[in-house]
Amino acid sequence: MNEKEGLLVRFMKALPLISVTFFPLLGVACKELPAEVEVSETRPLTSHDKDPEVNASSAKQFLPPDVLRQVEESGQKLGDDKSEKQEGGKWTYQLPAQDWKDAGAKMFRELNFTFGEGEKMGEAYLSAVGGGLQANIDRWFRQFANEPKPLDQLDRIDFLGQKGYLIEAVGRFEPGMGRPGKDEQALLGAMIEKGGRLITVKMIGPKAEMTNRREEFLKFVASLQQK
Amino acid sequence: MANATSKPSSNNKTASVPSRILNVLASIQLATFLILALFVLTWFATLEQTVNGLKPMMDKYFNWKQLFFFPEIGRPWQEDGVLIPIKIYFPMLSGFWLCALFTLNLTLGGLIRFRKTPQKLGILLSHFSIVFLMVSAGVTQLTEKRGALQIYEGKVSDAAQDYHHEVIEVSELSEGKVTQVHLIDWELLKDLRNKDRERLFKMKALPFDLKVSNLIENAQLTPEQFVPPQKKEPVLDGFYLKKLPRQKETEAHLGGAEVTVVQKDGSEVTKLLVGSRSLHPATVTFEGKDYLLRMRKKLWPLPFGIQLDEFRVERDPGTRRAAAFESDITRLDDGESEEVLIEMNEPMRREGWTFFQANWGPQNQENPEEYYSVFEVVRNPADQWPLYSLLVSMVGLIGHFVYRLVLFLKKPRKTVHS
Repeated sequence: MNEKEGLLVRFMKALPLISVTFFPLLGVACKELPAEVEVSETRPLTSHDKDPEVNASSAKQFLPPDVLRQVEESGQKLGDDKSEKQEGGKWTYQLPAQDWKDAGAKMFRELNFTFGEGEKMGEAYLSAVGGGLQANIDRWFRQFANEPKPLDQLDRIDFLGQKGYLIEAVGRFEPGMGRPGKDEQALLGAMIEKGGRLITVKMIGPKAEMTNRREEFLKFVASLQQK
Repeated sequence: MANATSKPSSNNKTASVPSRILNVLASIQLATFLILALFVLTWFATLEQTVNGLKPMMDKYFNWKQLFFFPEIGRPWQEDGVLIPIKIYFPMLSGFWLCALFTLNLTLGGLIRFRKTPQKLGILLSHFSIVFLMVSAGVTQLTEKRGALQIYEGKVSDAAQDYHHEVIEVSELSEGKVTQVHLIDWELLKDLRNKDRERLFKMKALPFDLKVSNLIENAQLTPEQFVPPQKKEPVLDGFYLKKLPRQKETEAHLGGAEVTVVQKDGSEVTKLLVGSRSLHPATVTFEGKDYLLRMRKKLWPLPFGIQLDEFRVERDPGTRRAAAFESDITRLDDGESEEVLIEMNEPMRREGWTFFQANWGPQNQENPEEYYSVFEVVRNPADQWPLYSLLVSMVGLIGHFVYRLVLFLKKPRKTVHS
C-alpha cells in the first residue's frame, strides 16, 4: 500500500465515524424547542437605549404621534389611562396618582402597588385575611411601636360599602419575619370585616411622603369595588 | 471538467465498499448529476421567489436542517398582483446539501485525485477556486450579519437593525436610564409564529420570567375602539394584535406578541402586548423596580459610531426620482474621528463591517426639512472571498489556455503539397 492509498483508506475508515456523528447532530438540529427555555443572553448598550420613554401608555406606545394628538384633542381615551377604572383579580379600583405602579399580586396581597422612587418609595396593598378586627389592628400598631387603640377610638371611612376603620400610626416600622425595620415611617390603613374575613388596605411609606399622600390613600380606598 | 482525469483507485469488482463509495463521491457522473440538480434548483428558486419573496425562498432552498423540500411556484394565468403559490410535488434536494456534496465531489475528484502535473496546474487552480467559492458561500450562509442603519443628519448611531430577525428585549432601569438589556433571540421565538403555541422563557438574571404567546409574523397593534376585532382577537388594554397580510419582501414584516410576566413561582403577574411597530416600550414594575419590555428587529451593536454629517440627493430632472445619492459621515471610534464619503457602489469597509449606501428619505417630500440616510450594514468574513476566487480562477484558466495555445502553435504542421 503506497502513501496515497494509505491516506485514502484512512479517510474511508473515517467515513462511518463522520456518518454516526453527523446524523445525530442533524437530529438535534431538527428537534423542536421545549415549552420552557432558559434565557441568559444580553447585548451591549447602544445609542438606541438612550433616553427611554418610561411608563408610556398603550396609546403612546402603539399610535403614531399625529393620530394620538387627534385622539387627545377629540377628548377620547384609549388604553391604560390611569384615571380610568383598573382591574386586578376580583377588584376594580382607580389609581389615585400617576406614580402608583402595579407591583404584582403575591401571597397575602391581592392588589399590590408601589409609589414614589428611591428614598421616597412606599407601598400599598390589599389583603383578605382571617382573624379578628381588634387583634389585627393591634398588631399593626405594634409594628410601629404605637399603643393599640380600641375600635371605638378609631376614625371611620367608607370602604366597600361599609364604615371601615381607619388606622394611622407613625414611628419605626418593624415588619417582622426577619425583615429589617425602618425609622420615620407612617401607616395608613383601612379595615372591614366582610364574609367572615378581614379586608384590609395598608399603605406604608416615609412619614413626610405619607402626609402628602393621605388624600391618595382615601381616594384609592373609596374607589375600590368587588367584582 | 472536474473529474475528467480521475482514475479509480482499484478495479471496481475487487474494490472494498469504502473504496467504491469514494469512487462514487469523486466521480464525474456525480458531478454531472449535481450540476444538473443545481440548475433545476436555480430554476425553481427563480420561480418561487416571485411568489414567496427572496428571503423565505433562500431560507427554504438552502436550509441545512432538511435534506429535501417541495418547491412552490406561482399559479399560471393568475390575476395580476395575486400571489397564490402552488406546491410542486417534486422532491428537490436541499441546495445546502447539493452544494456541500458538490464541494466534496470537487475536492475529491478535482483536487485530491486529480493528476498533478505542471501541465494541469491551470485546471487545478480553477478547481481550487470553485471549491473556495463554495466554501465562501457556506461561510456567508452560516455567519453573515446583514441589517440596516437609518440615521438623520447630525445624529449618531452605533447599531444596525437586522432585516428579518426580531427579538424581545427586557431593559433594566436605574434612575430612568437603561443599565442592562436582556433579550430573547429570534431562534427561540420563530417557531411560535402564527401558531397557537406559547413558550415560557426563564429569565436567568431577572426576578421574573416571560411567557410569549400569540406571536404573529406581521401584526399591527390596533385600538379596538376604532377598529373592532373581526376574529375575536384578545384585547388587552384597549388594543389587539391585528394580523396583516404576508408581504413578498419579508423585511417589511413587523411582528407582535402577547407577553405574560410570570413570577418565579409560576403565578402570572400581568399580560401585555408588544410589537415591533411600537414607538415606545411597555413599562413593567416588579417588586418596586421598573423594566422596559419591547419587541424589535434585532440590533447589531457596531464597534464604532456613525454620525451623518450631510446627505445629498440628485434627482432626475422634473421628477422626485433619485439619480444619485451620497452621505458624508464621520466615524467615531474611541475619541478618534474619520470623515468618509459613502456613495452608491462605493461602500465603507472598516473593522470587518461594510456600509453600503442603500436608501434615503423622506422621499415623498420635495425639499424635506431633515433628510435621513439608510446604510445596508454587512458583516461577513467571506465578504471578499468570491473576488479572490474569481481572480484565482482567471489566472488558472488564462494560464491553461495560453499553455494550450503555445502547444498548438509549436505543434509541427503537415506541409501541404500542391
